[in-house]
Amino acid sequence: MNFKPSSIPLAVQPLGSTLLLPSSHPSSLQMYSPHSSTFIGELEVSPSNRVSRRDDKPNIPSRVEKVVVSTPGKWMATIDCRDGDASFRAEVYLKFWSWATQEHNWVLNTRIDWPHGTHKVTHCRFSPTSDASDRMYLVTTGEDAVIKVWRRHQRGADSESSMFSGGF
Amino acid sequence: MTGLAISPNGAWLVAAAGHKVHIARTSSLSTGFTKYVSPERLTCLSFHPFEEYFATGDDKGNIRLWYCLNENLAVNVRGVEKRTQTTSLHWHAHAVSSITFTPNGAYLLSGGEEAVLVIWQLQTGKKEFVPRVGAPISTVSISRFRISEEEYLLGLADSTYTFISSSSLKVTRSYSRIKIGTCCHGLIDNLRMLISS
Repeated sequence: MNFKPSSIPLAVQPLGSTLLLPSSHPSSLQMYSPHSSTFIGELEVSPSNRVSRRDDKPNIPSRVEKVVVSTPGKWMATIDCRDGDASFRAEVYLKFWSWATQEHNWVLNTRIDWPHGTHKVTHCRFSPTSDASDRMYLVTTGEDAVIKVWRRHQRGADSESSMFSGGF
Repeated sequence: MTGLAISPNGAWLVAAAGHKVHIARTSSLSTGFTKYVSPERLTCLSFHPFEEYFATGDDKGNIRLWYCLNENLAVNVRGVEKRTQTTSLHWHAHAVSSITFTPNGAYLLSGGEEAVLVIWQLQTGKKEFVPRVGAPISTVSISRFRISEEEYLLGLADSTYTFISSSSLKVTRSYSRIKIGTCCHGLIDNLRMLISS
């Protein structure tokens, strides 16, 4: 199994002081509290039908590669992808989640298909601003040598991208 | 060795290892074991609670019930691999990880990689299922917290423990300390990097 260290999703959620860790299934993340050593819950980032493998051929589920949480902790972005092959093209999804305090869980806000085409997203970071600020951004870099900035619109949905092309 | 058990009446010692079942009388262990061959590698073993027969699970998902514990067992023919009457219960597509009989002796429970608990009604051969328990099943056991409430306790591959009510066949509670995946290398290094940043 090809397992690059940079593709393991890890993040700290400051609200509640929990960690976001990869779960037992690659399509999900788990929330874990290190202080109380308790498992808080599981988040199905990529909806998956968990079936057992056919004969000896292993199943290839979509995999959560990256997770970042905004500094104050109300927003989260995830990258989940599945490698393509001869019969279908690669899937890459950038998803924005907001923290619902009542339900104590993340709620999907926006899904962007193929943020950098079929190329992998190499890094993503939130701007270190307050969650209420109008100037809240997520920066992503991709293997297509492009840097993209995603901006939050006040209605609550993340959309719009300004694109920077880089020669690197 | 993937299974070791003593029969309900204490007369027989049975061990499952590789492709063979080894049987010996507890009253005369020095006379040695009689061996029976299974076509596939054996993964688990369980005795019926009061009848003198046992079940094994194998690598290809087949569960076999062995009816070979009787007085006709020629124990002095030590080492010879014999044939005996067996019944097959085959549903699992992959290796059976654990089997157990219910205390009333009417059902056999089995679990494996499919993440489905199979409940075999021994008298009729009919099956009931508890599908999608969340992860591949590693162990199946019976929990009788109160006399009236029997539950099936499943140990899953990701270190979750799940209780299933025997009457409703629904998950009643599930416990996880943390969910463990099958490939964790690289996680510890990344965790260190995250904490230090």
